[in-house]
Parts: sequence; C-alpha cells; structure tokens
Amino acid sequence: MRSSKAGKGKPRRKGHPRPRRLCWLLALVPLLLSLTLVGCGGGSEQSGGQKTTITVAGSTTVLPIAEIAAEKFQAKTGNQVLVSGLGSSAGIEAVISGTADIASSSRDLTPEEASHELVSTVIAHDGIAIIVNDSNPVQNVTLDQLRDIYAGKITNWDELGGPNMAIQLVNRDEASGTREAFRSIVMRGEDFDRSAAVLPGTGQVRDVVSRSAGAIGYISIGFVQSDYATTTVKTLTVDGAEATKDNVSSGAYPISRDLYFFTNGDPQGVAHDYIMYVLSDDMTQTIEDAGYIPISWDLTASSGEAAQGGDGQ
Amino acid sequence: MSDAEEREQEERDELLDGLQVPPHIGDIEPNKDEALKRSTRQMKLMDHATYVREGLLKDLFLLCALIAVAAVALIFVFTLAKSLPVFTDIGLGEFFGSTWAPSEGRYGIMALLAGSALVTVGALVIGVPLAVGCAVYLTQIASRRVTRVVSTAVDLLAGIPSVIYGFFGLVVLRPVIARASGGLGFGALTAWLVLAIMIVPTITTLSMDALNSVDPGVREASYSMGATRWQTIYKVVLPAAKVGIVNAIVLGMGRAIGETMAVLMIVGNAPVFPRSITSPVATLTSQIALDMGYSSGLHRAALFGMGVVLYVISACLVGIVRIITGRSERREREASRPATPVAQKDARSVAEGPSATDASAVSAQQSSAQFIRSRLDRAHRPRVSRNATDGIMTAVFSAAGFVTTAILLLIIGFVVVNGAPQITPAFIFTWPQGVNSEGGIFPTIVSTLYVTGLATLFATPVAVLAAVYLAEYAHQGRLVDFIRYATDTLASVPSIVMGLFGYAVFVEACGFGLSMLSAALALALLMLPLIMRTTEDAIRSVPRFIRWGAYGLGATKWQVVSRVVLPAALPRIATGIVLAIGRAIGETAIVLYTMGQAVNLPVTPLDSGRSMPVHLYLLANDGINMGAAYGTALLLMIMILAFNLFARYISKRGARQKGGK
Repeated sequence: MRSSKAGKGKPRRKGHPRPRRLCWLLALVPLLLSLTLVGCGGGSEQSGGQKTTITVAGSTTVLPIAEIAAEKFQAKTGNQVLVSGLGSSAGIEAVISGTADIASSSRDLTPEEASHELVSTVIAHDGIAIIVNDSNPVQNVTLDQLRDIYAGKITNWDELGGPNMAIQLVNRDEASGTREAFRSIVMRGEDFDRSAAVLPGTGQVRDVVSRSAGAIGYISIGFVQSDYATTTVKTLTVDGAEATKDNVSSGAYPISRDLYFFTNGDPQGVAHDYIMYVLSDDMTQTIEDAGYIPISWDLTASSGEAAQGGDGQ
Repeated sequence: MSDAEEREQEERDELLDGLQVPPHIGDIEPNKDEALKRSTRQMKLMDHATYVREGLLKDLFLLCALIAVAAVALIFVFTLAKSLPVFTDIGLGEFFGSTWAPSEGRYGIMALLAGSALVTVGALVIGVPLAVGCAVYLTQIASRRVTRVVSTAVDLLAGIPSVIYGFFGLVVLRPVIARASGGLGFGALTAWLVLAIMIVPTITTLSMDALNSVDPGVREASYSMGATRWQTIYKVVLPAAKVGIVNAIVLGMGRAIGETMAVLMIVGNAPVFPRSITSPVATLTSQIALDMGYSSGLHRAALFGMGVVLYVISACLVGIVRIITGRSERREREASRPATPVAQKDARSVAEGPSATDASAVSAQQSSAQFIRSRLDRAHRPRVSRNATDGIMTAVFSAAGFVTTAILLLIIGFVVVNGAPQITPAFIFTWPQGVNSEGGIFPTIVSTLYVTGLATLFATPVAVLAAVYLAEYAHQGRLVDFIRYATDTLASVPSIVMGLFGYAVFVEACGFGLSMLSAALALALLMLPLIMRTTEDAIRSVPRFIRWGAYGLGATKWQVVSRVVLPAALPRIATGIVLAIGRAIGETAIVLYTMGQAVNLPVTPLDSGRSMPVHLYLLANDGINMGAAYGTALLLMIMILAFNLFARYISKRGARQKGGK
C-alpha cells in the first residue's frame, strides 16, 4: 500500500525531495532483508504461543456448520475462529502439519492418516444424494448400478430404463470428503472412471447437472434444495430409499456418512470450547437448517426410529 | 546490446574530456575505466568518501540485479529438489506414463501433457490469426482515433485477471457449448475460446511493436511502386516484421501453457487423453492447482515434478525467442554492413535525439527501396483481381480489430450487468456471513490491497535498482545477458509454479505459514521482472545529452542517476509499477496456496486471509451465491481497470510534460 502510494505520488513532486525518496527506498532494502531473516527465525516460535484465534480447515461440506458456529462462537466468547474449505484431505493434512488447529472432514481417516495421533469427534450425520437433470425420467438406481455407472461400465441411460442418451459423469475432486465417502460406500474397491468431469465444488456439481440433460452427480443432501439456485435437480432413490434426512437417520438410505472434526491430540483451550459449542444445543437448529442430521437426534433415536419404522412399513 | 557498451565508453570519454585528463593517461593505462577512477581521485574531484559511496552503491545495484537471477535459480532448484522422489521413487518411466491416478499410486503425466498441448495448440490456432490480424489492422489500416480506442481495449483485455476469464467461460460459454454439443460443456473447446481471448492481448501488443518498428519508408516505397495495401502488408510489412511476430506468438504460447485458473475452471479436470474436443480433459497447470491443497508424499512430489516440466518448457520458449531475435539481429547487422557508419549511427539515435542528417535519410530510403524491389520481384503474381483481394483482406483485418473490441465489451458488459446490482456500501464494507457468504466482502478487499501493497514494497526497490544497474552501470557482456535471460524467464514462469515455489519456500521452509507475507513475497517475484523491464526501458529512453550535461557539470555517477536520469524516467517507471500492481491484484494461482483461504482481516504480515480473486474462485466453485461472485468480479475488475487507466494517464501526462519542455 505504502509503496504503491509512493509510486503514484512520485510524479507530483518536483525538484529536491526525489533523491531523499530514493535514499529511503535504499534504506528499505536492508531493512526488509533483516525483517525477512527475523521473520524466518521467529515465525515458527510465534505459532506455538498463546492465541485466541484458531483455524478450522477442511471439508466444504462441513463449511456451513463450521462457519456459522464460528460466527456465533465469536459473538459469544470473543475468540476468533478462521474457517476455510479446502477439502477434507487438505484439512487433515493441515492439522498434521500444524497449519490448522481443527480439521473438518466429511470422511473418516485413511490408514495413513490414522497413523498420526489425531482425535476425532463426530459432529453430524449426512447423506449423499444422487442427482440427475429434471428432465431425466429415471427414478431409481441400485447401489450396484451406481457403481457400474461411476466405473464407466454403464454409459447410457437406456440401460437403466431411461431414454437413449449418453450418461455424463460428474465427479468431485480428490480433496472432497463427499467423493471419499461415495468411493467407500458405492464403489467398494472399483476405480472411478477417470474420464468423468471433476468439479471442485458441491454447488458447481449441482449447477452443471441441473443444466445438462444426461448428467449425473452426487452431492450432500443439504445442498439439494437451495434458496440461491435458480435451477433445480432431481434426486434418484437408491435401492428404493429416498434421500431424506429421516431415511439417513434411520439407516434406510444406504449412502450416508458422519461428519468429523479432527484435532492433533485431545482438543484443548479454545479449540475444545469451539468443538463443544458445535455439539451444543445452540447449533442443533443450524445443523438441521444446513441439511444435516445433528448428533442430538441419536439420543432420541430409539423412539424416533421406532415411530418412523412404524410409519414407513 | 553493443551500442549500449559503446555509449558507456562514449560517456566515459566524454567525462575524461570534460575533466581534462592529461592525454598520456589513456596511452599508459589501457583500461580507461581504471584510469578514469585513478585520475579523478588524483585530481581531487572526488573525495575518498564519495568514491567509496559510489562503489558501494554500484555493488548494491548489482546485488539487486542478481536477486532476479537468484530467484530464477532458486525457483528451479527448490522445485527440482521437492520433486526428487519423482526420480528416486516414482521413476521417470512411470512419471512420463499415461495413467494419472494418485489415489492408486499412479503418477503418469502424459495425459496431462497431451491436455496442455491440445488446449494450447487450439488456443493458438484461434488466437494467432485474430491477434496478428488485429495488430495489422491497428498499425496499417485503422485511423489514429480507432487505433487509440482499440489498442486501449487490447491493453485492458490484458489487464483482466484470469479468474474472471475463467468465470466468464464457466458461466457464459460452458452452458452454450453444453447445449450445442449435448455434453457438459467442459473440455478443450471451451478452453480454446477462453485462452484465445487471453493470449490475444499479448500477441497483439508485441506484434504491433514489431510492425511499428518496420521502417515506414519501406511501406511508402512499396505503395509508390504500385502495390495495393494487401500486397504491401502481405509481401513487405509482414515479412519484415516476421521475427517480432514469431516472438510474440512464442510468448503467447507460453502464456497459454502456463495459464492456470481460467483453464482449471473450464476444462473439466479429467486426467485422461482427450477423446473429443468437448469431453473433459486436464492440463498440467489445472491438475497442480486442483491437487496442491491436499496432496502429500509422492503425490506432492509429482506435482512439483510437473512444476519442473512447466518451468523447463517456459525457459525453453524464452530461449527460443532469444535465439530467434539474436539471429535476426545478427543477420540485420550483416545486411546493413554496406551502409555508411553515419547512417547506422543515426538510425539508432532517432529515438533519442532529433539529429537525423539528410545523408542518412537518403541512404535509408535507398536501402528500403532495394528491399521492396527484391520482395516484390520474388512475390508471385496474384491470381485474383487485386482490388477484390485488397478489399476482402482489409475487411478481414478490420474484423479482427472489431472482434477483439467486441469481446472486451462483452466480458465487461457481462460482469457489469450482473455485478452492478450487487454493489452496495454494505457489500463493500461488511463481512461475509452465514452458510453461503451472504453479506459483504470487506475482508477480502483489505486482504487483496494488503498483500498487493506488501508485494509492491518488496518488488519495487529491488526492481528499480536492478534496472538502474542494467541500464546505467553494467558493462554489456555475459553477465548482463544472463541477467536479462533470467529476468525474461522469471517473467514467463507460469504463476502456478511460482505458487508451488512460494508454498515450498515461504510457507514451509521459512515458516511464515499461510500468510500475507508468504503470498506477498511470491507475488513480488511476479512483479519483479515486469517492473525491471519497464524501468530499464524508461531509463534507456532518457536522452543521452542530458546525462552528458550533468557529467559536464562535475556530477558523480550516482548524482547523475538519482537527480537527472531517474526523475526524467519517473513517469514511465511509475506506469510500469502501476501496471504491475494491477497484475498482482488479479493474480490467483500464486496466492491460492500461499495466503490461506480463510476469510480474515489481516493485521500483521503473518496473518492469513482470502484475496478477492480467490474469493471469486471459491464462490464460483460453490456455485450457490452467484450474486456475490458477480459483485466480487465487478469490484475486482473496477480496481484493475482503474489501475490500468491510471497507468495510461501517468504515461500520457509524462509524455505531454516532456513535449511541453
């Protein structure tokens, strides 16, 4: 900023001040160099010290929960929480390397990641909806069909009872926890067809599917209905079960997963307070609004499930 | 470059004469430079302190110049070092294999290379005719007023950040192509269109320089021999500017290969060999940007390996340009040898002082007439009627100019129409809130200005002083050549590679973490060559006689530089700095993984934050709150266009002042 001003200011001055300005610039060089050196030495120490700012990095799926919790938490306690959505893997990587305090994740740890001393906290449940274009007449897929579609073995909608139309696969990027959960639940050891389009965001998947007749994609149930979107998508039933929160909670819908917070060792201080706040009753409504299933439902699950089971069958 | 050396010598001689050094000193001491120093000290014109200071300053400038070299070397060494597992654990055979599937432990980049090649070649096929046509139209056909308007449009197109191009491609072009092809709309075709628009400004500007530097006499002579405009352009002007245009195309190619954000947003990122031009593909740059955030171990090493590949490609392209230019310069020198030395000398100094003599003008005319005659003799006779061809081709070139302007208006219009309703004081001055980043974007604006300011603070002193060294102090030779090559390479290193380097060095090795400082240092590397180049040009364009005057009054070198040369060059230097700032504001790939992506109001340089381009990219990915995305895009574009127009204003005012005096 300062220098850009100097750049603009220069032509306006006349005569003598210029050489002095240059001397200033000259003096800046060693100053900056020394700053850099000091910074190099001091940077790592500083991050270990006390602070009231914590960083949450990771899943874009968990982003809404983490961000709203951060705002409310900050309003309540004054401690600042920085939230960024880089993808689950990136968040876990960041916690392992120490650049973030909490990793938000929409999948469990891989064996490689589990070798570090990470502590997990389940903060909510989520279902993954299979979405297609509104114009697509197909209603249902089985888990096996879904696997074959994403493995590139089923390539036309007519194999699923639909029109003769090529299936346009839309996949998520590898940093995505949704992809990871989808891979472990649906693919079961089969590899994704690598010629699928890879999109780095839930909303983009939704938007692309809503505009392409032959497209299929998968997104978190919470994003299927959106107040912002101008277009709509259709969800497919999987093995006959509709992608609803109740079905996820009851276990009737097969593609569901937990959302996690990971910390390096037991959460402490502000990080601990923040996690407890996310689990508290204050956040239950927010988590429901975001389209996920709060942990507190589990406590009432026995009665709730019985009631739903009675209704459903 | 040898003329600069000559000039140095002349200056020294001039200084020697001015100081009235005893005539025998030159004979005794073959090294005049040494002699000058010794004699000046003997004559007590320069006290010891001044002498030492002058020496120290020179060393400081050299140091600054070497920073560019060091940066180029460091980028290469660090990226290579980080990619060592590619050689040891992955193996070159696998690395250049065809399967890219990091989750399965397969790291073959051939499909990505193929994607990069497909995307680049297509962009060149569309972009080069458009750009060269536009350049020809602007330099040969258009009236001055049209030229001014269209070349402003081209400059502004160059200033629009790549993330906005990507956004435009994603939101406007992709659905159109999806409807036309029945696919998803991601793929090479979309990337071609967007990249073609993006390389047009680079190629047009450089081609215009080349075409403008063709001796106007050549053109006049061609007309006077009865050639039509098209014949003149096709047979005379274009061949004469061939080298410059080829250079422009090679540099445009470098831009296309290195482009990251726009490509990332529209190619579909499927790491497979392209099946059709409308099926998703991936490129080296897009894959790095996509995977960088979460990769680890061998996967990360492979990404750095891809960075090395990109680096080598761009260094080779710069090398090719230098070789072509060098060869053509040599040929020109040989060709013009018969001309009288006077003519040669004056031809050079036309730009520097109004001193063309009649003799030189006559000889220049003669040589260009010869040139024309030989060109026209060799040319085939046109089969079509001359006038029809002429008319058609003029129309084609004009169309190229209008298409470019229309594209600029389309993009600006798209952003303004969608973004304007979003821009309210609340949008600018409040924080993002809630699930979908409702509310404003205040912290991202602050972060953007913060990081750009910091980067400017780092880059400007070093770049200006380095340019002073190159233009005023350096003896032309290997070292200076090498510094120039390094600067050119630095300017052409793909920004994602700088991002990789910034991450490896500033974020990890230095321990700055994801912070303003890390991002600013990486951005400074982007700005360094831009500012250096413009500053050096600016200093060189300061007339020599002003310097002689100052030396004649007994000024030391540093006095001449600081009180005479730099003030005279200041408007152009400021223009260069402002343009570089505009470039840095819109840069996405570099800050994406060096600055962090959390929304934060940065206070200290070690704070992280999210810049506006990154915010725009993430909003586009989320694809939910598109209103905020349009608003951010509009604000970003307003800021950058304001900087660009401001730069034009400075340079124009500087020119006017000079004219006034």
